[in-house]
Amino acid sequence: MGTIFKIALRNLVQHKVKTLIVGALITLGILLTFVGNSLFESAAKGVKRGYSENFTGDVMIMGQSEKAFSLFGSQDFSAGPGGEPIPVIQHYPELVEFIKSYPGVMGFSAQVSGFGILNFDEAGMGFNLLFGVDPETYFKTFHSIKIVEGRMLANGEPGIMMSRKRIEDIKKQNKVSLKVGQEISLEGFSKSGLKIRTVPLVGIYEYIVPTQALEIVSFIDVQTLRALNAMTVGTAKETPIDDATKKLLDSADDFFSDGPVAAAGAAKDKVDLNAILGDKTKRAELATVDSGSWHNLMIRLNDGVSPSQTISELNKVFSEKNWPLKAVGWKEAAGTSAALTDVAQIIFNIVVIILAIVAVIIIINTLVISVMERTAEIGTMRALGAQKPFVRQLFVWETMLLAGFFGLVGIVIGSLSVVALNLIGLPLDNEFLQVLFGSKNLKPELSLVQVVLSIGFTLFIGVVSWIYPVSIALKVSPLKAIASE
Amino acid sequence: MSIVELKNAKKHYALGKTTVEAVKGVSFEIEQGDFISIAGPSGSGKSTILNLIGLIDTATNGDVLINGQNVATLKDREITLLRHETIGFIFQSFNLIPVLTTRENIEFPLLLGKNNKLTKERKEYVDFLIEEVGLADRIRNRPNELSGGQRQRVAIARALVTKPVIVLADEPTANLDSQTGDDILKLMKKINKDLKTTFIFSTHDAKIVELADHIIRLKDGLITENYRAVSKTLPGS
Repeated sequence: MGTIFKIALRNLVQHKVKTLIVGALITLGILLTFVGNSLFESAAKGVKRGYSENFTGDVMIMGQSEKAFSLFGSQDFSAGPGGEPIPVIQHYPELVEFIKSYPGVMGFSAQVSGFGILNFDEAGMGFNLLFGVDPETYFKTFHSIKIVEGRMLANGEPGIMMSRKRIEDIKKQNKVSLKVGQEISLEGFSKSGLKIRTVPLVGIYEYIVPTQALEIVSFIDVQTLRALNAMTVGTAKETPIDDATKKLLDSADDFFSDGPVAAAGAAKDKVDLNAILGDKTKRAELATVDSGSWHNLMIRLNDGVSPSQTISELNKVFSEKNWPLKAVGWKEAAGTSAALTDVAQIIFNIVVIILAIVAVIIIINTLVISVMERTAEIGTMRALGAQKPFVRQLFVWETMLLAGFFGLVGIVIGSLSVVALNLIGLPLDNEFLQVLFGSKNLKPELSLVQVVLSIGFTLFIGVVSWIYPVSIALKVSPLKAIASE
Repeated sequence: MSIVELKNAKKHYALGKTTVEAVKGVSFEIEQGDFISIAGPSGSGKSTILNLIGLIDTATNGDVLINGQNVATLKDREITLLRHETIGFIFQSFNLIPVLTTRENIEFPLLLGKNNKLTKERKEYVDFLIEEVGLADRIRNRPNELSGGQRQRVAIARALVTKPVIVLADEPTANLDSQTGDDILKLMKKINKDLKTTFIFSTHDAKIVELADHIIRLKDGLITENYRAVSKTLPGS
C-alpha cells in the first residue's frame, strides 16, 4: 500500500502540468456545484420561509377537487380570468374546533382567494390577486406585513390594503396615484357573471420578509371578496333534495314524451309547480353571500413539529370523518410560483451533471494518455512480478488522490466563498432572480449537507474516472517492457 | 536437472495478413549456474526466446519448462508469481521506475510477492546488493539523476534482489559505452560465480559471447550452434 501510494503521489507531482489542468477542472466543477447548491439551498429555505411564515403556513387545508388548486386559486390557467371556482371548505365550524385542539398547532387562519379588476375614476388598473381575510386572526398568524401608510383593516370593515410596490407599479403603468381613503372599484368574474364592489383603500403596507412574487397580492375584507367570487350560500353547500322535488325532476323528461296532454295532466296532479316556484324565500337564501365559506385554512406549527407527519395524520382523520378536505404542505399550497426555484435547481443540476460528464471525460482522457505513455513502466512492473490488482490499485490511487485533493480544494474555496457571500450578501437587482431566490439580497449559508454532498460528488468523479483507464492499464502485457526498447 | 528447457518451441506473430515465424522450433537445455549467451543477428529470434524463457510471452507450439514445470498450462496469476519468484530481468533500456529512488527501485520487486514485508534480513540484502553494484552514494537519487552505467547497475541489483535462480539480460550493454559495458559484465560474471545465479543474455556483443560458458547461436529463428565453452574472464577481473 505504502509503495503504491508513493508511486501514485510522485507520478502526480512528476506530471505537474497534466495534474494541474485536470485538478483545476475538478476544483472548478466542485466549486461551482458547491456554491450553486448552497445558493439554491438557501434560496429554497428563503422561499419556504417567505411562503410558510407569510402566506401558506406549514400545512394548508383546502376542499377536495379533481382540479389543481393552490392558495392563489386554480392552477389551470386555460380556464380564463378567475379560473375554475375554488372549492370551499366543507364542515368549516367542526374543522376549526378540531384544529383548535390539535397538538402542535401554533396558530391558524382562514382565507378566501380571488381576482378583481381594479378601477379608480374610471381608469382600469388591471388584474389584482386578492386575499380575503379576517384581519385579526390572519395577521396574528402571519406577521408578514407592516403598515407604512394608513392603518390595518379592521374586522368586519369593508376595505382593501395594498402593497407599496403595487401602488408604485399602478402609478408607473396606469398613471394613477392611489391614496389612502380613496374608493376603489373592483370587478369580479365568476360563473354567475360580473360583480362590482367598491371599497376604500385603508392601508398601504410592505412585506417584512421580502416576497417579490407576492407583491401583487392585496388584502381585502373577506365578505367583499366572497361577493366578487359569488360565494353564495347556494354554492357553498349541497342542498338536500326532498322526495317531492326529486319526483318533479324525474318527471321533467315527460315534458318531451309522446303523450303531452296525459303527461302534463299527470304531472299537474302530482306536484304543485306554483307552490314551488312561487316561493322565493329559499332562492333568496341560497343567493345570499355565504359569510361562513372559506377556501383555505392555513396552519402554523410549533417548532419541531413535522409538517409531513401532521399532513398525513390530518388526511387520515378527514378520510375517517368523511370530510371532503385535504391537507397539503407549503409547496403545494404555494402552487407554481414556489415551483420556480425547484425548476431552476433542476436546470442547475442538469448543468452540473453535464459539467461532471465533461470533467469525467477529460479526466478519463488524460488518464488514458497517461496509461499509454507509461505502458513500458506498467509492463516492467508486470515483468517484475506485479499482479493485476497492484496495477489497478496504482491507478485507483492516482485518480482518487487527484480527485480527492482537488475536490477538497474546491470544497474549501467553495466554503470560503459561501461564508464571504453570507457576510457581504449578493444583491439581486433582477426581478426574475428575486423571485427565483426569494430574496433581494441573497445570503447563502454554509451547510454540512452541501459539504457531504460535494465530498460524495468528488468521490463519484474519482470512481467513474478510473474505471476505463484501469481497464486499459490491466491489458498492458509485460512484453511492453521489452517492446519499448 | 535443467533449469530451463525448450522443446521444439515455436513462436509465430500475425503481422497484418502475413504470419511472421520468429522462432521456428528450437530445443535446448540450460543448467543452473550457466552464463549463457544467445547470440545472433537482428531478427534471428534471440529476444523472442528470451521472452519465452522469461514468461512474458507464450510459445505458439512446443513446450517451455522452467524448473521442470511446463508453463503452458499456467494462468496469468500463476505465471506472474513464477516469474517473480524465479526470474530477474535486466533490460536494454534499464526500465527503472522513474519516480522511485535507487534504493526504492531495488526494493520494488520485494513488495510484489506473497511475502511483501521488508524485513531486517531483506534490508540487509538490499544494502549488500547496493554495495556490490557500487551505488552506496546514489541510493537517494532518482533514475534521471544517474548515468547509463549507474542505471544498469540499479537494474542488476533489482534483478537480483528476490534471489532468482535465473537472470535474463536482453542486450544489457547495448546502451552503454565500452568501459561501462565491461564493468557491468565483470559485475554480472562475479555475481554468477559468487551466487551461482544463471545468467542468460541475448546479445550481439562479442565480449559477452567470449565470456559465456554456454553459447547458442541463432539464425532465422533456428539454432545454428549450441555448445559449451571454457569459461573465461575479462581482463582485469
